[in-house]
Amino acid sequence: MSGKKVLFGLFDDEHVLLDAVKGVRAEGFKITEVMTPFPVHGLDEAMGLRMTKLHSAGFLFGATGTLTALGFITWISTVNYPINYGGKPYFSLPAWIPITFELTVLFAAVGMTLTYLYLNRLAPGIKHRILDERITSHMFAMSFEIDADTSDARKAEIRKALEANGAVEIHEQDLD
Amino acid sequence: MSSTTKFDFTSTHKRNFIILFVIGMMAVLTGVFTGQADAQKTWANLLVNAVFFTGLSALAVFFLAAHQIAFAGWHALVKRVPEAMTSFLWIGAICILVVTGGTIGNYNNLYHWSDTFLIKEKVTMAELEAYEKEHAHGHEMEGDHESGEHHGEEHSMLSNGTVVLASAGSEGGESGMIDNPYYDEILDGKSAYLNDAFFMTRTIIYLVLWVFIGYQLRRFSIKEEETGEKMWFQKTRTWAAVFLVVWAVSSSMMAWDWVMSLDPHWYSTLFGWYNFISLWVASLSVVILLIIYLKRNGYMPQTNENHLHDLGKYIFGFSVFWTYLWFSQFMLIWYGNIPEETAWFLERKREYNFLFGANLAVNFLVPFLVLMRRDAKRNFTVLTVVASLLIVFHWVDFYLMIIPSTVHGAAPIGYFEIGMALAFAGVFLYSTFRALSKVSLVPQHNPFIQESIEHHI
Repeated sequence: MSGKKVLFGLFDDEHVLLDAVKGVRAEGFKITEVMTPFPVHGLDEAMGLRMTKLHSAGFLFGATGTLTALGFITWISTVNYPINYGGKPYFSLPAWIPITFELTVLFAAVGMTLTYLYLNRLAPGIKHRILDERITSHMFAMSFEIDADTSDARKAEIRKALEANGAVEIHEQDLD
Repeated sequence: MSSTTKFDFTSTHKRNFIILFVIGMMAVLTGVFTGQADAQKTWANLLVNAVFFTGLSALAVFFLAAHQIAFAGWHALVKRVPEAMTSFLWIGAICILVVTGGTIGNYNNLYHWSDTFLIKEKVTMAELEAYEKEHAHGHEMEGDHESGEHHGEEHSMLSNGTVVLASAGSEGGESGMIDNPYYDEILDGKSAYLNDAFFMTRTIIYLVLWVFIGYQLRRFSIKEEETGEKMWFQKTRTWAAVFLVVWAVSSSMMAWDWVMSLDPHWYSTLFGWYNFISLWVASLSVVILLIIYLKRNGYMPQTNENHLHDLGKYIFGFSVFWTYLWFSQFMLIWYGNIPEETAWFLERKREYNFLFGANLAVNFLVPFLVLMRRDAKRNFTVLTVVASLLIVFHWVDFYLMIIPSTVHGAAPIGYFEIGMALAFAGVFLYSTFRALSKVSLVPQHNPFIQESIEHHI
């Protein structure tokens, strides 16, 4: 029991939500998470999230695939078990490009998928708390992390900011 | 600057483009008069630039048609640029007609198959003598050298008279017909498709359709701007659909006809797409450069890095696709190792090894590595550099497809070749900028204009 709690406001309109995110941040509150039933354009910028590093991971996975393929085929064809195919040289780069391409794509795709699952803590058997079922269909939630020690004054401040920015409902929930 | 602003085509622009043209022409004329460039080389370079610049313009029509059909809302703000590029199309079409017509009218010798003597199995003595007399000089450049199929080549090693007498002695039959020592079975087999009349008919059909539909799309767009009626948008859709059907067929056929048939013994089944994509990447690069130029001069304020990001993705993606086609063509021929097919690459590797490698390296590695990052596609300076390189090297791509097949032996790119390209660029830019100044740069009555303004990725 870590006593973690979450205070969240529900919004019923994406435009109100977008303005609210800007408004609440301008007032100096730190938003923990915003949950929406569909992607909202401009939300990432409004929340001040940095760009995902998934692309860079993808590049590294891809490059690993390229090197693995080229390195492995080169070793097999020139060192380990050289065979003469149709008079072509042992080191026949053009013939290896398709395999290299495939392995690059495979490594990048599988690597990025696993990285994505890891970053989002998604795996079979992991239970995720849904703050309110309506955020999966038509409501938007903006949540703030608090704990048992958070003073009532602080909570009231957050509630006030949420209300002032158009939240239609405000709830508190234990995370444990 | 209001959204109805038209581009101001100043006298400075005009002067600069005319200077570009004049400098180019001076280089061309110098080449011609000093003998640096013989007739064959001049015609061949004319073909390179005619195909390349007509292609840039035709692909601008494709840009408009494809986005129109796809209801691509984001492109509404930038569509004036490809629209303006279509204004060069009729000039390019004339250049193509001059070059291809030149072959058909026997003013030049670019298309080897157009020589009907080569497809006659039997000829009379008199015909053979007349032919040999006519081709006594410059016979060298006519035959293909590698494919090993050439009666012409064996023959040219001997003195003309000897062979003629030998053939006459052994074959001279009743009607005085003898075996044609220059008879080319492959050309004869292809003569149903590759003959003067059909070739010229096809060329005229593609060009007329492209020019006409390009003109219609531009005209409707201007009407839409002037009247604000939605019916013009619907009409544009109809013609855009027609163009895509026409283009699906004619894009491949133009490549076979104008470029691949320069080497009538050689063939590659993906040559049409290869040409199409090469021109498509170059044309998109021109669109990007023009938009950045306009933006740097304060026009098109609502067009922003989101639109250029999309265009940047295009040149990134299609450069990879171009490479895929390049590689597919190369790898299968390399692997198969059939002399008839490898001849094409041998000729290029032998005399143009550096350009051959640079073509692949620049057109693949530069967009692939530089434009991979999101920031790069949104950075105008990076896009300018990459787009400029792509235009130059896709031109080189066409140079490498056309010149080795027509000007046999080494023909490095010198002042003459660059001059010819500059002259074309001068006319292309003059025509495009003039068209840009005709109508508001923002199509205000386009149904998608608001979507395009709010475009965000």
